[in-house]
Amino acid sequence: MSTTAITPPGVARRGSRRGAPARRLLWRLGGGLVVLFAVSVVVFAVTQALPGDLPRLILGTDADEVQIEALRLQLGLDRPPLEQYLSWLGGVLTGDLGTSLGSGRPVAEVLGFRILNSFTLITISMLIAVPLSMVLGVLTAARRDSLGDRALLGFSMVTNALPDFVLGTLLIVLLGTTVLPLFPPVSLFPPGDLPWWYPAQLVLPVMTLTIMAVTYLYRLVRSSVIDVLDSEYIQMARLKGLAGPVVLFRHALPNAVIPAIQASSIVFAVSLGGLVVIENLFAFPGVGSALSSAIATHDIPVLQACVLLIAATFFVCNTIADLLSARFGWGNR
Amino acid sequence: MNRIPRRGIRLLAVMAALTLSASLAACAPPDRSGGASATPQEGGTLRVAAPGSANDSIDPQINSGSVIDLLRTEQLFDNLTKYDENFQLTWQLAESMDANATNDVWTIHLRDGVKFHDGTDFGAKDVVASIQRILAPDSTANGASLIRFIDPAGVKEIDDLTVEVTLSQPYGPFPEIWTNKYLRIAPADFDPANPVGTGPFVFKSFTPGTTSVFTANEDYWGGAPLVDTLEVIDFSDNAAAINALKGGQIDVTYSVPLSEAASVSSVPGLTLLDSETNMYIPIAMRTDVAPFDDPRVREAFKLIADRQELVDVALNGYGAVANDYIGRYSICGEPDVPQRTQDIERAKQLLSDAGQSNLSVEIATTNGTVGMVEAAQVFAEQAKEAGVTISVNNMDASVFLDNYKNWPLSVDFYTDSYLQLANRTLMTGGGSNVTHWSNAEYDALLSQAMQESDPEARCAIEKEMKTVEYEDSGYIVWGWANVTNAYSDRVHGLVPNATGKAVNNLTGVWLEQ
Repeated sequence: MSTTAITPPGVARRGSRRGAPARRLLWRLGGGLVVLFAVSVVVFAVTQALPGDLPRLILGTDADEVQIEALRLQLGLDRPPLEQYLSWLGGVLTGDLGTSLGSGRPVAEVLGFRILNSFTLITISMLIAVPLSMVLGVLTAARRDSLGDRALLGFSMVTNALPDFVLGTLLIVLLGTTVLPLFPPVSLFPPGDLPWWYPAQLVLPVMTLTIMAVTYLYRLVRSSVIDVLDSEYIQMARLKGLAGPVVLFRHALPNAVIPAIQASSIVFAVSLGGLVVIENLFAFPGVGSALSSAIATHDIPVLQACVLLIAATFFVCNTIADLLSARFGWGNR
Repeated sequence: MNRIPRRGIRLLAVMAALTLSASLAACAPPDRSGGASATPQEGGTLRVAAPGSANDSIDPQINSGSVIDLLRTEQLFDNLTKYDENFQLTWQLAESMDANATNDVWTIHLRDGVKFHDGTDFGAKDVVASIQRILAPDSTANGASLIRFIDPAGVKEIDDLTVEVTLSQPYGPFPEIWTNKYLRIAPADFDPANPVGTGPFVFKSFTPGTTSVFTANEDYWGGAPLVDTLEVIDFSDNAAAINALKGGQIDVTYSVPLSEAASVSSVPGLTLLDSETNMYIPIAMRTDVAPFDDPRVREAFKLIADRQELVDVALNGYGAVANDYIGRYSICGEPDVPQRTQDIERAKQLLSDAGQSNLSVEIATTNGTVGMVEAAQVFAEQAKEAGVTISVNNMDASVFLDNYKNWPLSVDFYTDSYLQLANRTLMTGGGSNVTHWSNAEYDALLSQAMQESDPEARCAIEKEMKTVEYEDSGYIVWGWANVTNAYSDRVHGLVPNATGKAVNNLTGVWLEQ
């Protein structure tokens, strides 16, 4: 993933010539495709190395050798691995993600509604988490070392150290089942329905993801705002007699926002991976639960599609973060 | 795959939250609606949860036999015969079956007036087509291995309601085989995309790994279901399903691990459905490799087992002690052999006679069903007393299955009637005979039982078979496991079921509106 590493803001600011950003974007896109190709090769190689015979995994212990071999033929698993990979790659290049080996359905059909569900979940969380982190970060930076700041810092460190499922389980017990049953403890959207038709069922998973994101992001904002507040031009602004909130939100925040944007994009992408845990906990029909069942049964086409989706999301998020950083950097000059 | 520490953390989290809430929750009065109305009410949507994945299948014959696949297919389709809640054979799509004198030509008489969901008549052609579909040369139907004794060309439609089946070898318990989960009957023109069957519910929608919707079959030959709609909902996590039940998002859940049964039964508003079954989780010793090729070592291992402790710990007390032979609920009664109990001194003596003192072996297990891992752990502890070191190798299901039937010592689980299991797990070369046990006396008795059509004579043979099994087989059958499900108090009509499939029998279930 080295080609998609975050570009420091300083580099972006140099792009003063016209056309350079477009060329840069083109280069990045090319690099991204190379990375996705490499990821697909690695995933395929790993699935080949994994123990476990796919027809046996699908049919279970009740099957005898005759059925196992019949299924092996049906799935085309008797072909050499290279041929299997190339035929999959050929399909992907023509827009066909293949057929799920487990359910025999097209991968696009298996994953389509799940992708929508998962992205809805992450997007709503991020729409809450990012502004909330900004506000919390600025406010706690302004009241550095106050009781509230310390309490929130302590809480966020503890929360961040918890595995996702512990936080999720706590929330389920607190708000879903036992203490104060306000929200449905799991998310059961009938397939074909859109997730936002069931806002109550989204509350707990969104809350879990949001708390995980905010406790991390707000600390980044806080520390960069603190850095900015200590800088000379803020001192100057204060000496000139500008009001506290104006200094804070008009002068300090814009300069502190770049690292937060970059971190947000990473948090977004990481959330997609973290969904495996969250979705199992909340029985949420998304990409994460499909990924874990694809791994368990070695359903290579579904596995490939999930991993490529996550890799592509990382790439897109990084690119957007870079573009935004460059944009903010430009505006600030 | 180290699940235990994770579970531990989750438990801690739950306990922390419970402690936090102790003052609040402790004040709440228990809400036991004991005096619920006993008059069944019709209508409503019953929501049933079971463990499933994106690999679910709705095909009545081609599926992996997962709990949720069987739950769905049993609603849409019927078998020719079925075990009731007491494990007694009942007639379903078949009304009777009779054999020739040698038990190798069977005539199936079908129920008259049964219709498929699309209104067409059910008949002999559908039974013929189903058998041929299962036995097709390129078929991946798991049922094929159960009925390989049927010659596909010898399945004949005699008239609309009569089928004649010619076997390649005698098969006495022929009516019993048709109870099998893989041998449901589909229409001759079956289309998996539009699964039309004869069952109590009619297909409406199905998406692997999520929710399926079925509606009541008002014309069901066995009596229409009381609820209007049935939703079968996939859960990949047992805790999530129990949470959904607590939160009122579902009405019934299949998955209550035995370790959580006690805590679930104490939740106000929930009822535990505790079924005693003939499922067993044996410790299997490969009788064709050292050290278990020596009968003395096998007997020593059977004497090492403290069965009550295995039931109490591995099954959390939800089970009963067994005696190294299978076939609980057989109509034949029990063989005349004493209950085997732990005898460490005798075990040590046998091991020493076999030159296997200080034996050290590995036991293979996986999280296949409740108690599989725990049984291995408890047994390993018990073996220490006899100077035997057993290291527990708890592996991912894929790794376990990769070497299935090759582990020298492993844990497995089975459930079925005696002669079915005898053919599969005890007969020389049986498809699931993971012990590779080959006992000429047992095989001869089994073959005799298969040819015998007089039930009383067959029972006498069956008892002899169990005696041989008790003395020599490679399975330590230490206990019978219960199956525990849970449901909300607004659900009525669920009854414990000796097949372990209580949740599959839904026609008599109704909801308090």
